[in-house]
Amino acid sequence: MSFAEPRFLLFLPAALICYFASPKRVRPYTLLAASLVFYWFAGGVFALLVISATAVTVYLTALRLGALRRSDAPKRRRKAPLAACLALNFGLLFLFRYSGRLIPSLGLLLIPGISFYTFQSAGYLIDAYRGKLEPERNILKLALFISFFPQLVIGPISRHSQIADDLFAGHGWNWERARGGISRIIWGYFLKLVIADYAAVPVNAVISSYQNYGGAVIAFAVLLYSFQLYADFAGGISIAIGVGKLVGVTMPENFAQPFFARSLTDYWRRWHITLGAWLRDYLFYSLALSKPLGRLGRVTRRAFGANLGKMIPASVATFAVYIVMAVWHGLSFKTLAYGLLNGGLITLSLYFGPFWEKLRRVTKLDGGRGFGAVFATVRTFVLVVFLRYFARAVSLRAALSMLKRTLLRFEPRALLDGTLGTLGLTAGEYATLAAAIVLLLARDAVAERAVKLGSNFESRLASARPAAQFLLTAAVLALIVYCGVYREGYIASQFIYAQY
Amino acid sequence: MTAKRWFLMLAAAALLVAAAVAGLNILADPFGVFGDRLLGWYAYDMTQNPKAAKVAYIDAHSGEYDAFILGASGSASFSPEKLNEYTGLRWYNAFNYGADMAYTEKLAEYLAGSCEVRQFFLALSLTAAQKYEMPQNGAIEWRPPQLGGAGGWFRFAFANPRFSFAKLRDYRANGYLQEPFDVFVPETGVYDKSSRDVEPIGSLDAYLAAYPEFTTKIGVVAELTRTDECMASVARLKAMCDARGIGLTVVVPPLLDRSLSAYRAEDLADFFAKLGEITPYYDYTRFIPSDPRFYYDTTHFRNCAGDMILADIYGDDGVYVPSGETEETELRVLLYHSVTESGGEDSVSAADFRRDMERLRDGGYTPVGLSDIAGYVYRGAELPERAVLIRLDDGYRDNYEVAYPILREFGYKAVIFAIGVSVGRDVYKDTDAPITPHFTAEEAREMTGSGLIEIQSHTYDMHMVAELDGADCRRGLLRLDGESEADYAAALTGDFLRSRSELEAATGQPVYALAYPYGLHDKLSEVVLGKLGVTATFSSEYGVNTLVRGLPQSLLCLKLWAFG
Repeated sequence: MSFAEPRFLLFLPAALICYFASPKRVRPYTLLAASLVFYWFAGGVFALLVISATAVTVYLTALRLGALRRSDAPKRRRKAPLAACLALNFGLLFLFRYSGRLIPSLGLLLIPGISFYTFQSAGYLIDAYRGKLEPERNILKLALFISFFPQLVIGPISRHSQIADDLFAGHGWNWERARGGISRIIWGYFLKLVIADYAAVPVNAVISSYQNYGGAVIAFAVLLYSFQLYADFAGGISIAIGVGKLVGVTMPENFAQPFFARSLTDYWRRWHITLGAWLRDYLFYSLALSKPLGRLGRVTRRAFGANLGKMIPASVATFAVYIVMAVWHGLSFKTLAYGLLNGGLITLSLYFGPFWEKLRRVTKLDGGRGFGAVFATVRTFVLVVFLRYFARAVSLRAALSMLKRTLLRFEPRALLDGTLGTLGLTAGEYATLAAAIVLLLARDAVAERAVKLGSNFESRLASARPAAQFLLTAAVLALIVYCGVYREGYIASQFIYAQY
Repeated sequence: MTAKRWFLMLAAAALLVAAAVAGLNILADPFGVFGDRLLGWYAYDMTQNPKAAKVAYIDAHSGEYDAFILGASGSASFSPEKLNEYTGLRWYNAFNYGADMAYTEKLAEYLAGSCEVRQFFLALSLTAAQKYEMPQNGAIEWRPPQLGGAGGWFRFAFANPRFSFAKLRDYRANGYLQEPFDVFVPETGVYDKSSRDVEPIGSLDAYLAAYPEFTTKIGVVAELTRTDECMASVARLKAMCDARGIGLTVVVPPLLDRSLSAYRAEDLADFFAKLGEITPYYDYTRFIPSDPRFYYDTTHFRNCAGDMILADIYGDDGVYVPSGETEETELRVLLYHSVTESGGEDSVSAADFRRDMERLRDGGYTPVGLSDIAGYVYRGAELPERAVLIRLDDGYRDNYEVAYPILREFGYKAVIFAIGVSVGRDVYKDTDAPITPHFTAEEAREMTGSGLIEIQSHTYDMHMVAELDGADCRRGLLRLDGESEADYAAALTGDFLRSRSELEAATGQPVYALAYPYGLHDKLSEVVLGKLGVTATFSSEYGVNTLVRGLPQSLLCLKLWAFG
């Protein structure tokens, strides 16, 4: 079950009513029950079995790790159960997510959100290993942490320390929190129904038969895809965070105005933040601080000097991170290419860092302000869209072919001669889509500014004039209703009449 | 803003959005459910949802009708005007496309309860025994609130606002002619067939080429699976009529053989047997020729066929009904303009004209008059085998001086199409430019008095000449650039009415035919002339015409023939 299904809109109020009606101490268990019901709708009994397997193994392993730690066991002994449990659960992840490519029939066993909850529970396990937390004694509470329904199928990937207290506190209704929650939910549906679902139409039309279109139309589609993906993902996250807020759980943000990034590195700190943070904390540092990479570092420092030598192990770890990130999205040549490109570009920026610094000082193009900032933002945006070719194309070959077309057969005329009208959206729908994207960018711009000023977006919004808030809310609701609720169901009568 | 106040604001915003949606739907009213007070475009509403819109329309005019035609598309071609004539009641055609007998029964009950109904006319198609209590696929099939449609008014108020936007958009694009979004005539409830009823029809091959759907194969056998439920509804309807003293006429409408043969014989026998147990009925399934030309498409027979059925029920002998097979014949039309003693660049010489008449006689051709061919089509009169219509355009005096004596000599009939503004003139309108002289009204009366010549319309002043009319010049009787459709319709109407009244005053003969100046015509002009009662038109295309008994469209855009 996804957030956009009508079923969810029935499920959510029912779940919330049960939650608030339960006594305080029972509430976490109500949440667990609701999460299991949600997951049953989403993936069936089999999915419930799989996630239970993860929950049980992680629970037992964490307790064991805690016991081993208390008894001051040597590192080698402590590593074994950790490695075993991680291997098991990542093995399950690999099995259900990727084996579909090797054994087609298995691919049909869809375990929704397995990537998310596997990473989330792995993080918990590694934190237990590192002694950062006390292993949970109550298996039901751990189960709730792993399967908490708002974040189960789409994230954000939370740390135990971030949400455990709120999750188990059984917070009651709070008007302020509810306002924040409902606003985020409304905004999330706006992003999903008005931007993502509509942008998908021309994107799919072009990407699935890119050979029929000139480079300009392809570039347009990939650009639109960038917005579609952002709106779809951030929209879902917004709904997730909003629902969490309603029950008093503050989940970490997953997006921080990614299109305002000044560099690719900056971008990955603003996009899918929790995955990046997870990879940084559990993969990158583990690798970078590991013995093998340490030895490599000594070798390279001796061979290439201090600067370069230091960067090589760092870039190995970086590549590892981006490859895992890419594979997380899917196992194919194009996602590998995507990961390698990202890793490569970021590594390059690491190497050329000092050079850019000198250039900036000479040209006085300060990346922090004015023209320099705009240039950096635009450059990063173009780079991100370029990388999206690999993310969205149907295969690596298609991506390269699409790029070739974009560069060599641009045909800008196609943008004005009505081709865009054949992609499945009417002029009115394009206009609405454009307006909605502008609204999204405006909101992000305000939020970005708020960050600079040290305040936060929500409080800025809350302090705006009531009339403006009212109009904005009404406009957003109207768009959600028109584009989402009423999307289907319109058949021009002449088509029906024709059959009579 | 405090949180609680924010929630109030949210509720207010949500209410605003709901009110906007409902407000738009109620004001634009694409289904006519709310009375369509703003735009009053009932034809559109009925096209979107005939069930809801017709009930609303009838309710709004409840005192005006006391008899209703019921059924599905098979009832569309029965004319309330004809029924008014035959029965003296005030009829409305309340058919709905896609209606099944379950709905028709409910509708009849509703009408009987809300109006003083004296009679129902039910056209029961065989499809009523195939579909019963059909699911409602979307807003265009929602039942009217008055008939207990689920969700009632609320559902229509919160229908997809795209329907309302589409209506507003179509309103701006609406033209004079019937379009796919307004297919009804609201005042009578029938389909607006003004365009289809003026399409020229000739041979069967030509018609099939234009409408290939008549030749596609029907692969499946049509099953009459809901006969019992259908007949139960009919029985209840009959009982209700009997109880309330409402007359009920039940008719099974015509079908093409290809459609009829898709049913199993036993199913058909069962259908009619069960129907016969409930009520007397008329079986018109094979009444008209199984000829696609009598149908608009594979399921809808023409208005003229509906008229034939009504004439049969009510004993009107003035309407011709072909028996069984199509009765058709060929007609050739010879065109002349000026006929002078010596001939010349623009005229035929008397000698040549005489020779043409001899060739007709020797070739076994028989010239006939306009009223002869009209009689063939409308009254089933006889026409000779190789009928030829001699046509003289413009109304030149030489027709009277040269052609008319020759025709009299041979005893041949002819039709002259006279340009109204030039009758009796030898200069062009109010200029001094000389033109070939035209005959006068007295000369016209003399010719028509002989019984050989009929004089019909070549428009009053829509046969303009570019060199003489300059910037005001029309191309034939077509619309001027930039002239609105409504203005054009008025202009053409005015012109034809003047032409007709002056010619009728001059000759004492009815004027019901028109030859298109320069052979130019289009759909809009055809529809306008059709509404004015023009039943025969002549073009300048070449070909042999096919006249069909009982098919008025076979008299339209008659083509020219040249001696081989």
